[in-house]
Amino acid sequence: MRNKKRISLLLAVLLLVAAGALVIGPAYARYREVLTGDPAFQVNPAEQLAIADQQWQQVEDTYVLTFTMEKTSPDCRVFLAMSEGVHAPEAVTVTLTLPGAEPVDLQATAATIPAGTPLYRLFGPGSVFRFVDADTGEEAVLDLATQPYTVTVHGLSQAAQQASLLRLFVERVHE
Amino acid sequence: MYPANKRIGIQLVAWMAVATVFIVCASVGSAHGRISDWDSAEWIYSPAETPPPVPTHSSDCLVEGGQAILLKDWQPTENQREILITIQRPEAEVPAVVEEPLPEDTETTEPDEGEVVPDEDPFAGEVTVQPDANAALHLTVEAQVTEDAITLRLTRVDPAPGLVQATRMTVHIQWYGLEGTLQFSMLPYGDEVEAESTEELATTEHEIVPDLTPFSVNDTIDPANSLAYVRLNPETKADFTVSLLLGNEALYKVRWSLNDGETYSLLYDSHIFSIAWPYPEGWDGTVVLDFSVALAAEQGPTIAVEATSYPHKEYTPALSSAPVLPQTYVVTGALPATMPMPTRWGAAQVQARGIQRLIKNEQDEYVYTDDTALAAVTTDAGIRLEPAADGVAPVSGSYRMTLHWVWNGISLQEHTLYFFINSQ
Repeated sequence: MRNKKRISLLLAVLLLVAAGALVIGPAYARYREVLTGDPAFQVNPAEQLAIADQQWQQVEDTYVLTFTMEKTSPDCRVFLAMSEGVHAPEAVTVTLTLPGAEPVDLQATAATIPAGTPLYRLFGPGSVFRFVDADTGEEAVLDLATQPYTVTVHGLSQAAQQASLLRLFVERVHE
Repeated sequence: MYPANKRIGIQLVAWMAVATVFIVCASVGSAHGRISDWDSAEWIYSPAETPPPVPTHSSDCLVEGGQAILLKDWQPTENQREILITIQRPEAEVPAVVEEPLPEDTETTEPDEGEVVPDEDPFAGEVTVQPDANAALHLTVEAQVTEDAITLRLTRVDPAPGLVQATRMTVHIQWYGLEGTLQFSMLPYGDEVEAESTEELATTEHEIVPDLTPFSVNDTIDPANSLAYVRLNPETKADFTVSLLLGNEALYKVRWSLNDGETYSLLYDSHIFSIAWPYPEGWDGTVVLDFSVALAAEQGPTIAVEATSYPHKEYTPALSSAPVLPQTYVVTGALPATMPMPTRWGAAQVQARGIQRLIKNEQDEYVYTDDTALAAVTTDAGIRLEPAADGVAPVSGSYRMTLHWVWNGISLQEHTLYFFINSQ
């Protein structure tokens, strides 16, 4: 009697193992197949900011940059870095003109590029001109479209003693 | 106290928290250390530079140069102990006297007693001559300044017709808003002196193809050196006139050679030169034209050739990749990086010297200081910038270096090259 019970228990266990193998086996095989095939999902690089077109022109004593963005780019800061050699950056006026039915001009304020900052390590010593929102008094954060924007630099010929590099940056603001 | 399995669980959770904080700090820190997600548009402003004086001349001895003038093989004879060089006043440089009204709130101030008030004569000019010790033994330079021209009289003073050591005379000119330096170099001559090898030029010699036309212009162009080869093969011995034009404008500062670049003549103030056919009748000859210091980028000259009894012929070689002199460069990314530019001028090779970085000193003045973190190496493609020592990264900023075109140890021409390094 006891042997019968043992045998039936053993058979039940074997049955369970067999059923488990039948259920788990194909699933495991599919899992291995997925592992050896293409990954089930892909990581796409974030869309980068890109200036599509740019052109510097000289109009008498004024230097004008016209640029467009490759794609609509929300939440961007625009600033102009000017290398060492401009002895009176406050005498240089830099204006960003936003296109529209009634174009809006944003004036820039000049400041020394602080040593040790990422901009300093990239660009070197000099001045940075940041465009200010006239209403808030803060640096403007702009939604840039694909229309042409204009940056006008005036007073440089009186203020620059050395050959100077002007570099306009468009940077996305990350919250 | 917790049971053992619970303690292990707590430790596991704690380690996971520490690892998470570490990963977050690492990713945020590296992003914080650089500008991310940005693009830029760059441009270089150059203050207007005073044009250098352009000399005219009255001697065949002036054969090389630009602002550097090589007095090659000037063996003093009775007929040619003096060379006159004239620098004409450009019409556009006549200074206009503009009287600006004083602001109303500005008071005129009298100079203090004893203070020297500089003479504001707009026609004032200054010419200073700086001979090296050896040059003074062989050459004197006298300058005569008038309202219309500066005349430099170069006189050989050494009685013996021999020169065993290279000499150089430097003349600084400040006149009518012009400011520049002329350098007169005399190379040694005699049996013991040989000009620098021109094998490199000879290797670019074109293949001469039989041509039955009176003369032809070979289209063999060497853009790297801005050389064009004009092949002339007259049926009879004839003199040629070659004129060089850029559009409707005359093209100056072209060098030409009748011996495959071994020696050159430089056209200072003329775009026309005559070739007295030096070869026997019926022989082919090649004229090498060097545009390397004459052409702006993206421009192609027209070469017009005329000969007695032969028709006028014009040819425009496709020279488009030869800048006059290197402009200003922006070096981005990691070093080494090459600034592409022509590094040869005939047999002369460019040497880069004296890398300096622009800084602001304690008096808020901009000064260039020697920079030892960068090294410049001349290659066929241009000037390669590289860190002077392994692991020492140059700082971003404004730099300059001096380029010398050196031939036989003589610096024939100098040029200050400004460049910027923008790299993280």
